[in-house]
Amino acid sequence: MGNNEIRLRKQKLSTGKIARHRNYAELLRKHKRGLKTRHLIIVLIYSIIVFVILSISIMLIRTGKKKVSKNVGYTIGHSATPLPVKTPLTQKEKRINQ
Amino acid sequence: MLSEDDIRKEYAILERSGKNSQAFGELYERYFDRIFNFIYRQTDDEDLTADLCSQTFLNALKNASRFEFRGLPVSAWFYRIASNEVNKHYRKVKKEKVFSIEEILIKELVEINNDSWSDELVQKLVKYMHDLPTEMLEVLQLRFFEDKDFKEISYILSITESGAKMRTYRALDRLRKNFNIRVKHYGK
Repeated sequence: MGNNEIRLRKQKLSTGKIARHRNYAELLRKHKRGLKTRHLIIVLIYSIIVFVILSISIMLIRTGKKKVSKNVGYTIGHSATPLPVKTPLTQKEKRINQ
Repeated sequence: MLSEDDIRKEYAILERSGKNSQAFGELYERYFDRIFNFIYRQTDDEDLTADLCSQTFLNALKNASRFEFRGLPVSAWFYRIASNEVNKHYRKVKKEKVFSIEEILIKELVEINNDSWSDELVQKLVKYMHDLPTEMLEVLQLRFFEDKDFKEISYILSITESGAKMRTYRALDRLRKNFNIRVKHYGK
């Protein structure tokens, strides 16, 4: 069974009635507006992509710098060459100092 | 029917339209009335038809550079876009589809003497059409009211050519059995 409504018309649509809706200039205007909108959207999408890439690279650079500074602190604290350790002076050294 | 040379000429216009939108005007003027009538037969609403028709040509103009030549007239492509626009509209509003048919077209479809026509018979035919599935009505509309051949119908409705033929013949067989009348057209 169909789910359609069938309407019977006595007459065809007149050409005059159809002509009222025929407007190519309007169609072109809509088309140009559509093209402009599409270009704007493309530009917007590209800007967002560039912005995201830039922010990611800036973040990466910053985290890289932080890591370097942390690594520097670690090498000082646990240096391969031991820092000089103060040992109590011997009797002979005390006499020389006096 | 357009010759292959005419079809190629139209295709050349469409190709030019991809770069220069003004060129599309020729096709617009040539097919506007036919597409308008085609949509109107599926809406019965002048303003809605104007909107859908405008959207059809707008889509065609936007995608002019993507059109592929398949040996079919450019109008078949317009009908296909229009059919999709109509279906999209009905999906959106969730209403039953309207088929608004001129009485004269129904009378042309069936071979009967003018005197034998009665309001009762017309109403019976309308009832018969009401009971047909949408797919069959779409094919009948294109075949008899828009005068399209099966190759074009299959392209417009995105079905196979044999599928289009099968739907048409089934609908016509039912018509013959129910009304015991002769159908004028029986396919090209």
